[in-house]
Amino acid sequence: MDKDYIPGSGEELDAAGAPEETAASEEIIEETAEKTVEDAADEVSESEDITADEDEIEDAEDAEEDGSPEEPERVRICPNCHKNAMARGHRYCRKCEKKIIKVKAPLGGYIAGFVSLITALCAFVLAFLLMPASLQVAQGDFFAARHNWYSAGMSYNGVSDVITQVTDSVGENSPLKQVIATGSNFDFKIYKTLVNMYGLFRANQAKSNIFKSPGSAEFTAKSNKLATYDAMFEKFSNTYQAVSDIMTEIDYSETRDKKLGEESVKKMEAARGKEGVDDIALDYFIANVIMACDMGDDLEREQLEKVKAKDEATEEDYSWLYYEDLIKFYMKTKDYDKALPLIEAELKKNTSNFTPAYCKAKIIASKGDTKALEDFIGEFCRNNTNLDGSQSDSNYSLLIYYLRVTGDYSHAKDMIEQAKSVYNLNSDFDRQLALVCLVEGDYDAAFEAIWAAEESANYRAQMYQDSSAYTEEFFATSYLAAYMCDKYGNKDSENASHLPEVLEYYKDGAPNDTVDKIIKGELTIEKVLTEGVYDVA
Amino acid sequence: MRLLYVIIKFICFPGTYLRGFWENLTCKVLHLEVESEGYMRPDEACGHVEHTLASTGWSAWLMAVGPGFMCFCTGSAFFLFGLFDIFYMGITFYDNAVLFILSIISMYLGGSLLCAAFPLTEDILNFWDVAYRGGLKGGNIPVKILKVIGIIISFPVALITRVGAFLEKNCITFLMTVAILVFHIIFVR
Repeated sequence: MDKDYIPGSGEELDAAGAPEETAASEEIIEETAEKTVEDAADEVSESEDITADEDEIEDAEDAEEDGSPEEPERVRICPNCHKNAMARGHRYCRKCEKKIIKVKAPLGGYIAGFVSLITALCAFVLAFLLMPASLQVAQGDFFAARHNWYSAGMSYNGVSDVITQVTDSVGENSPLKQVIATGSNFDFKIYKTLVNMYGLFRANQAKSNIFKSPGSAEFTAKSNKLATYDAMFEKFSNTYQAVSDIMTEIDYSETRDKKLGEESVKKMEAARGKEGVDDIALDYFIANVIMACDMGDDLEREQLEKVKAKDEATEEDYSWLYYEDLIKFYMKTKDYDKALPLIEAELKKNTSNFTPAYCKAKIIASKGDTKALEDFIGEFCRNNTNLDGSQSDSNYSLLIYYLRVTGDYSHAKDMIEQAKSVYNLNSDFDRQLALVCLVEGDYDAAFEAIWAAEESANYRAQMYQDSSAYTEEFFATSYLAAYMCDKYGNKDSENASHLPEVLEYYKDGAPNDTVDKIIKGELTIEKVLTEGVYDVA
Repeated sequence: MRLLYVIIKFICFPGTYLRGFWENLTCKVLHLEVESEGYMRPDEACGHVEHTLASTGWSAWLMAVGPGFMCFCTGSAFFLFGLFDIFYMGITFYDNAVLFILSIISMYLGGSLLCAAFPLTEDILNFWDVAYRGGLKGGNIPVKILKVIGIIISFPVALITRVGAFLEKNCITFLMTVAILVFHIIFVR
């Protein structure tokens, strides 16, 4: 073996040239040992260049084969700066790569992120606590948007209960109680609901009970939304102040005759044009005088239609003043064609308005179309069902009316009992029971029913200052039942002793023509209560 | 449109800044290189960070949806609190001035975060490519089944995010937020 042979050098010995090749191998190895890292890197890049060159040669050969011209080497530009060439084996140029390595999220970002998480958590808790009450308000808003003011009112009334449940769960002394509370804008929603349900006058009577939030005083003084209602109410109340003496005189007068009426109208006309006296409100009060003093249907019609015409000529809505009186007048004179548009307009403004709805039901019944009556009452009931799915008192009244019209008196009585068990202060149920008993000829039971109606109406008037039960239908039924019981009944029922008292109240005669004709024998109870409007008024 | 986009992003600067931060943090978690500094830039990437695209399905998904999820959750909390308090509970300045102002600020913060809830179209399209265009190549049957399940589960959110990215790019999310407020001002309050 040659002493210069290095085992493992990869060189194979042959007989002749081994020593030279071996020496060359030794030189390479020695040289390699002496190189630094940089030299090695240079060598690497040189080898890359060599590779590139080789690639270039390949490309050129391919191009030659293809016949296309030789292309220069593609230099890949750094995707970040779009200026420098990308370093081989790296994603960016060296400058950008150094910069990117240094990019960190700023401290402000961490602080903002942390603070936002903590505050968002607090906001989430508060939003969660506010959600039940907010959904209840949203439900009320939904009904209000559809002008279903009865259901809207019920929803809004339920908000305080929801808030109480939530605040009870967070604890009596929790600071969160201040957050979980309604404000003046919510109070305004309730006020607006009452205006649309009962009219501006009654809503204003309850105003101090409605606006209870801490900022209510300032809100009621400065709110533009409330200003519209306040302005109209001020016109109404200023006008009433101007004529209140005249109205009081009529109220307390024992003889409300035409003469008194004419004098009163004259005095009221003298107030026209004075400061604070609104023209339309004054005309309405004059209409009241004409009705109170029974100055004749023609004058009443003329005055009420005058109020309506003036209202339609203004941008404001005064219909709350006169619509009920005008509808009732048209119903009394059987001017159903004129009543119906007014009824439809009022039902559009308030889908739960019972008086126009009942009048419309009577108009449909008078045409003998029980299917249309069923459809109308069905739709009304669907729009005015309570939030828990039960029937409202208005629904019960209309359903009982429908059963009377179809002659199903036994179911009518059952429904009356059911309604009374839920709404024991609604006198219309007892009034309708009195009508059923009158048709059946049970005059003692009729009087008992109307006496119960009188008691609940009186209670509502005393306790809630609500005299809405005292309608023309009520008085007509009351007198008719008392008269029939007195004349044809046994007068042995529980409250029969009150008969003289009731009859004394009507000593001047029947409250309306229909009852007057029944008493005179020109009409029968059966005819009145089983045909036409199926009612005594 | 770019100018309008930048203006809206600056108007909604809290959400813009936080969005940029969440994206930056997500890149850090996913070891994606962030190529730009600063979030409030006057270009199409305002409120976003330029970064290398994720190459795996899960990373691409997290990059596309993660920061937006943070913005949506925090933004919803702020926005709903302000909305409930002012429009439904009816709190006015007269009732409780501090609460009223806090509610206004909360709604602004929430609205700005919600306007920044969607990613750049590049991010969601990257996820789309990685997850859906790649198909079911590679892996055995269980892996393929998992892929299918992942595709089905992720598709609704991915679709919403893709649509949302388009809307945000064209400033429509801002208009939608404003429309919600206007609706409440007119019909609720």
